[in-house]
Amino acid sequence: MRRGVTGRGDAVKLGLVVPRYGADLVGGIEHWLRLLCEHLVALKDWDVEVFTTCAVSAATWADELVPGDSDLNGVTVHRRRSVSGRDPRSGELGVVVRRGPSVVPGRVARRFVELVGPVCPDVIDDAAESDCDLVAVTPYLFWPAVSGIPRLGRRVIFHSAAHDEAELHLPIMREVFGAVGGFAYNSYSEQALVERTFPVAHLPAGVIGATVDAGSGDPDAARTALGLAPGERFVLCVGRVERAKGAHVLADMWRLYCSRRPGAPRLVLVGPVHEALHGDDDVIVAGRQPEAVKWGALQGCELFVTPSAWESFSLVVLEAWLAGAPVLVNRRCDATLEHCLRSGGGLSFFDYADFEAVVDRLLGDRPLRELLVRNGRSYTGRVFNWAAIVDRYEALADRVLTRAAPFATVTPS
Amino acid sequence: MATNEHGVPDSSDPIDLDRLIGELETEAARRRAEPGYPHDADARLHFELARMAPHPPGSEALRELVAQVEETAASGTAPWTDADSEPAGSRRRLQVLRRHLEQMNSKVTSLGLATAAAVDALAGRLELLEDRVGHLEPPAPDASVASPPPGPSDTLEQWRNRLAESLPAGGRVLYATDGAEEVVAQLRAAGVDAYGLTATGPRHQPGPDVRRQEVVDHLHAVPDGALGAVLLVGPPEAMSPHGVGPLVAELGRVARMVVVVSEAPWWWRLRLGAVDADLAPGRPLHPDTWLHAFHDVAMAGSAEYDSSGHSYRVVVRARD
Repeated sequence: MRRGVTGRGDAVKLGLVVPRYGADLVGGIEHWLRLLCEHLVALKDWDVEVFTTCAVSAATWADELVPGDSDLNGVTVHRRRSVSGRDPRSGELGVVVRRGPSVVPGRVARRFVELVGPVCPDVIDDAAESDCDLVAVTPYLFWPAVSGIPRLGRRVIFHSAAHDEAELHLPIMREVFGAVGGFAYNSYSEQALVERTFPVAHLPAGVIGATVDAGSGDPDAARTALGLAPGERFVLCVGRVERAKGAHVLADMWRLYCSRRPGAPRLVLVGPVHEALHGDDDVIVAGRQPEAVKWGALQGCELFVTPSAWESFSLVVLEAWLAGAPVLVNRRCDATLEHCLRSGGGLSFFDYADFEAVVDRLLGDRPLRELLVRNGRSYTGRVFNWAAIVDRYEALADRVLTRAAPFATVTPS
Repeated sequence: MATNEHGVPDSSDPIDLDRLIGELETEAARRRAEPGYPHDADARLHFELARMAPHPPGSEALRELVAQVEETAASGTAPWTDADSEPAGSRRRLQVLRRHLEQMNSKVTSLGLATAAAVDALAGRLELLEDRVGHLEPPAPDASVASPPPGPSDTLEQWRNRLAESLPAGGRVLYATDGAEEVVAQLRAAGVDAYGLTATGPRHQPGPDVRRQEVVDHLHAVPDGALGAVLLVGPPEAMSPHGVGPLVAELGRVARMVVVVSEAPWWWRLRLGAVDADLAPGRPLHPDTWLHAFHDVAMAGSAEYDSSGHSYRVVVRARD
């Protein structure tokens, strides 16, 4: 049991409300919050309880795991069944909602969130009735946050994982964001986004971030697995292959680059293919690969490119630096650009001319690549190590606890 | 060099990113101007990149138009084509419309650049004016005026030590000035739920208790009546009179109590008068100006000078 986080000598117990939770969930805010909970237990001796559903898939929220209470790496997990999962009609309503989110009536918006799911009143009841001093809630878009936060009130540390997307501008979100006790942000750009969208700047907030542990892999083995020749130079992109993540436009840019730079290295896309993208002489679409292949590829590539403009943190940028790859990001993405500017470890592009100039420079300037990697690696180790992260979280919890009347509830306006 | 929230440089090896980025942008511009540069492909890729990115507030109309174009293209029922038109004609028109949208986008960007240039020009003009007025010196001691004894120039310290006085019970307290970290820590140690703003310092937030942000920008994102008190120390001394109205309006909206502490030798008004002193660029505002401004937002209080006459404190509270 954690003692004295606030300097008042009292014990602190943290709850976490999250739509899905488990060791098999890799990637995303749920994965990272599981690691945070486990490190808070291990490094700060906190009591942590998780209130979650039986879901594994975010596409359906179907109950797949056994309900009940269990322990996972020192964290108590309370798993409850959902009343409903993701309704396919949420897609149809979502099209309408996204046309003009700021004028969507509350009744319609709540119906939309219900359809998105997972509707799990038992999870919220458990959290509300618990003796947790603080309850972390994530992410903002799903039913547990929208319905649970007004009940949990100032006890909530909100990991909103906000993007500048239509759903953030639904009028009902103002009530959700305004009811929490404090905010744990992934990046300064996320904080800026939330504070320019909602009047919450007076609430305690901290940029906590996330971190990764370096994996191991063999570059030559990775080349073989990816269909490259031994020792072949290549440029790498890791992430879901879908238009919204920029995979298709990156492939188009690379083909244009190769047409103007004969002999340029090939681009390899590693990650699950959600929208078809055909490979050719210039672009290899390798699909989902084992972690060892990913790390081997990160170690062996000349350059790592992340074209997505929709990242809230981008763990893979940190992974690239740890593996020794310089990073090129989309300047439209505040989170990845923030990593590059803070670290001095990466460069960015805005359009094709930038892209070509930066790629030419990086591929032809090994000392620059090495300098960028050193800076990125140093930044990752210094700012995003677990000791620093849990210290920042503890400091934030201290501020929220100071303000939060015990079990305060905010009545929806 | 950027520093992180702990004041430690974020970069371990020196790299002049600004210079490097400048070189790369120059190189990119040179390539765009080259004969044979693939402008069509560049424009198409630019459109795709923009389409797959968040759009800033105000671009809703453009986004909706793009969505309509895409929807129309997908349905193959472009309203500007007649029944006899070939699909290729529709695609050509779509390309033209896309180009038009890209041009609109570039015009918006140009407008932003022009606005920035105008602001720069105004800032330069203001600096010039401040430079000229800066030659005004304090008047020689006048026997007809009972001058307070000369005191130390840094008289803000004594006010800082008295900030916790008379703060209302409950509610967060915002302390805004440069170097807020120390004072916020003192206030928190005294049991005040304080946080701070600083306009200068590290590139990113100095820590969870102190943010790097302009006061008015911050207050825009604070709901009505959310703060118990706001303590403004230092920065108002060089505030433009034109900035007082918006600032006071926001303060009156969010706080139940406001304290303004400013270095402002009382004898400045003897030479210039209150109005001229306030309107002189770079000069601190007279306390009566603050009281008058707060009166307009239903706040009332009083002002007092320190014993040396170098600084004052204005304390106002919301009128019930």
